[in-house]
Amino acid sequence: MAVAVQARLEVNRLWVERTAGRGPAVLQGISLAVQPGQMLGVVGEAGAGKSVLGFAILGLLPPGLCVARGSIKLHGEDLLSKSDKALRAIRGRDLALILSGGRTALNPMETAGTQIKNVIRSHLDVDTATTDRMAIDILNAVGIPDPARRAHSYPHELSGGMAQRILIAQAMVLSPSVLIADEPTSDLDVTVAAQVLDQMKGLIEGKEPSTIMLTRDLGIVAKYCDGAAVLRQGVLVEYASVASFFAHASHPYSLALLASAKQARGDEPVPSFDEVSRERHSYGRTFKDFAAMRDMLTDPDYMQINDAHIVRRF
Amino acid sequence: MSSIAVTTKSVTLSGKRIVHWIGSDVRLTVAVVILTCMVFCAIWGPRLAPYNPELPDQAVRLSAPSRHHLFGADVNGFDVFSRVISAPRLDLLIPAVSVSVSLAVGSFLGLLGGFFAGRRSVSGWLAELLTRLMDIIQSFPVFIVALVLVGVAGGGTQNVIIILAVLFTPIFFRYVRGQVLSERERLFIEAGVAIGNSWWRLLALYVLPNSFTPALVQASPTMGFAILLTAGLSFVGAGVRPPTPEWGAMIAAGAEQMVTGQWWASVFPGLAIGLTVFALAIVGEALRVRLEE
Amino acid sequence: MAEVLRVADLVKKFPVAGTRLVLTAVNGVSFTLDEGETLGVVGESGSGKTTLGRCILRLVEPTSGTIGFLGRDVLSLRSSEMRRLRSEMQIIYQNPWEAFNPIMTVYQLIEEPLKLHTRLTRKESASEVLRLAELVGLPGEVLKGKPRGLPAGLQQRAAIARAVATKPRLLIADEATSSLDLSGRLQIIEVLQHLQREFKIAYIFISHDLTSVLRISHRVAIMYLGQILELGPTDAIFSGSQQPYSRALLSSVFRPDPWASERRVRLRAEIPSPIDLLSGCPLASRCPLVEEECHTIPPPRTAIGGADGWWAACHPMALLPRETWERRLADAAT
Repeated sequence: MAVAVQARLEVNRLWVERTAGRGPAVLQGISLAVQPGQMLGVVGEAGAGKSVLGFAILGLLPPGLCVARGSIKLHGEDLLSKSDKALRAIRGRDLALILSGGRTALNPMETAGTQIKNVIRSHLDVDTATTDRMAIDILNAVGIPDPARRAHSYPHELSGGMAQRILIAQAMVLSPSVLIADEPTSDLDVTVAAQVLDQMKGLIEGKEPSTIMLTRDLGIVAKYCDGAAVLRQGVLVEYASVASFFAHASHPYSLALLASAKQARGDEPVPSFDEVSRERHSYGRTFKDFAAMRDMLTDPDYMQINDAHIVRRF
Repeated sequence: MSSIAVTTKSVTLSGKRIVHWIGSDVRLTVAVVILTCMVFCAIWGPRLAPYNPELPDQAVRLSAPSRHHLFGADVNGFDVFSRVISAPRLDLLIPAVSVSVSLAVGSFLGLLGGFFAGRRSVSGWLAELLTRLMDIIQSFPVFIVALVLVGVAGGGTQNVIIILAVLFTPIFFRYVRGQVLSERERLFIEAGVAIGNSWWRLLALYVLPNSFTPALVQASPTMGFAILLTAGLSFVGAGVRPPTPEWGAMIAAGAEQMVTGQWWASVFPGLAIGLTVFALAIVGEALRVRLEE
Repeated sequence: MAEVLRVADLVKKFPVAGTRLVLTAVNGVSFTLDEGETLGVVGESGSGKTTLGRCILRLVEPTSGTIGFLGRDVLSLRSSEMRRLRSEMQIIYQNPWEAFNPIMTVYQLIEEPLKLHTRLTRKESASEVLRLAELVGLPGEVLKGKPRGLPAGLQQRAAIARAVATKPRLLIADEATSSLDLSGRLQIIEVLQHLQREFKIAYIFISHDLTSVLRISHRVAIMYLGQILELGPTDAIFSGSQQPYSRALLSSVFRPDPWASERRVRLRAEIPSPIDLLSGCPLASRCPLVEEECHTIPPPRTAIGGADGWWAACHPMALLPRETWERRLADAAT
């Protein structure tokens, strides 16, 4: 194996529990690693813990949840040990979040342009001309036609696709190192979603953040992501490079997700969780070995399918 | 299959649950006790009164509270205590009847007025007309209108009941109509149509049960208001005719003597009103909290 | 196969409050439906698919057009006749909890259509309700209580039991699986298919979830801005449609396959407003293959050879031979 590399964003055995203490942990020992320019798709149904993961990375867990153990490292620095003040300086600038919901996630009282400029002004000390230019540039980059005019629109004047693009612009304007996209297109019509994702991917290729794409849609993972991690009720059940995942998915839950996502007629039976098909091939792909993944390889709960693919034992 | 009763929005009526609910909050318990006493007085007050509430005794005029006259005697020689505990017969009856009638009528009209509002048909126009009528009734200060109507129709128990019922109807109309306006947009109404309900079934089983709570909750405080109105009318000489015991009239009769220090003729009936209205408000609030869960 | 439903030139326009403008939700829809058949209706927001469902059931009064159901002219019925006919045509919704009267228990909800449309005695109704609950996989214990608080899948099963209580010939499922998670979706589709085999109910399955539509529909109609742009057998359309919008829509739903072809038919700009629609093809402002006449003349229906009942609405497609058109579509895909 190659020497362990430190990824830009590393989540190492993260446990998130309810502060009241009752019930199973919301996230159970999650480990992930994302390099610059890569997008990791975190897949799971509602309640699997995807949003919790996103908020934990941002340090925005609601009062009922807390990190019990584990670490989240950005550029090697542990985010969990930082003060609230330090985190606020990082959030929006180095760590960005794209929510779903389009219009409802924007401030209805301010124009699109103002909201983007607010992000710039709260982190950078630049003059108005520069701020304006940065705002127009990012609006252009997310594919908004006639950005100078559109900047003066209020959220209710925007279509769903436009509003979502504004959210992406807000997140990307300061070229963050880490981008968390929480189901950014789930509310949009399919054709609009495709357009928006294309634009987002283009921006990501340009600015090279490490992106975590939280989604329920395996199709998005297949098309845009480099890695795939499947969450089921707070547990990481499978984690692999995208190619390996779709070729050699092993966990019954992953297989069930894949089968129902395929545009299949439905005469083929959906594999139940008792049925298993495993193929073990050695598979050399470019998904580097990170310290985080190595940690899981020594975990008896997980087994390695190839050096870019681990699956939880079942 | 055990029998399954149709329930109102969130409460299944059962004696045990009601008692439990009353006991759970001290204020509510006290309020219910007060009201129970008042109802008791309404039923048996005159029978249990130590002196005939309508027969004055000149000898004891303006005597202070004592062993013989618990609350003293007023300027005419009536025993205040006897009159205070006999008054509920009217002071509760008038509000109870007028509010019940206006609740029923107002809710029914509010149901129709809300459901057919905005339609471009005869029923729509009628609903609009009804709403305007209610607005008109409500736009005048209640007390003034009450006085005027009493002046026109004459006083007396029956007239006061009718006048109050008319004046309160718009209150319940408005509450029910407002609730109906929002409920009728709800999907379950459309689902009710889709399954094949007639308009009447829709109104009775779908719209009304889900729109009635705000009005019901309003009944109790409105009764308190009715007591005040009744007392007020009697205070100015309209309303109930003497020598029928009535709290408001009693306060009026004793008002002059307050200045010269004979406070008991007005204060005790005043306290009775205050306690009753207060108790009604508490019950209304508790009901609101319970039903809106 | 007996024909159950015949919709012709259905139009529904809504006045926009406070203006003289008109919003056209359904703009001339025609199709037929046979017994025991499922027609999937697919479209994005503004396509009019939900309004179409409500018009067919006359929950909303259409502006013009005809609806023939079991040989009867639905739009000409008096309200009492319509009420009786409702026992034959039912609907289930996306969020069943919103469609339930809050004061009714699950038992009462399922019993209600029996009370309204049959003359069963109390006892007979009771056993029928139990039978229906079993048929849809609803455990008996939930009947006594209210539906609120039950998991979404169970609530939808209750809604289905209520909808099929009078054995309707037509059931409209309006985004019936959209609020459910993966396994819930599959289960509900199974229930619906089972009931269809038992009772030969015809379904109109309105959904934006293409995988659900694919599973359950025999034929599918693709709607855009109130018109059906293509209608035909599900497999044929999913694998071989040549209508630009259908292709754009289907290719925008990504396959869970990283090696699948990247090329998509992309539409320009954004969906126009359904208010004050222009004449001509509704797709004209966005179609990558738009021609002159698309802007002014409504596209004719082109029958696509082979399969029965497969047609698409597109001007250039009607004029060009199939191979030429396929090549042009492929070139337009990027």
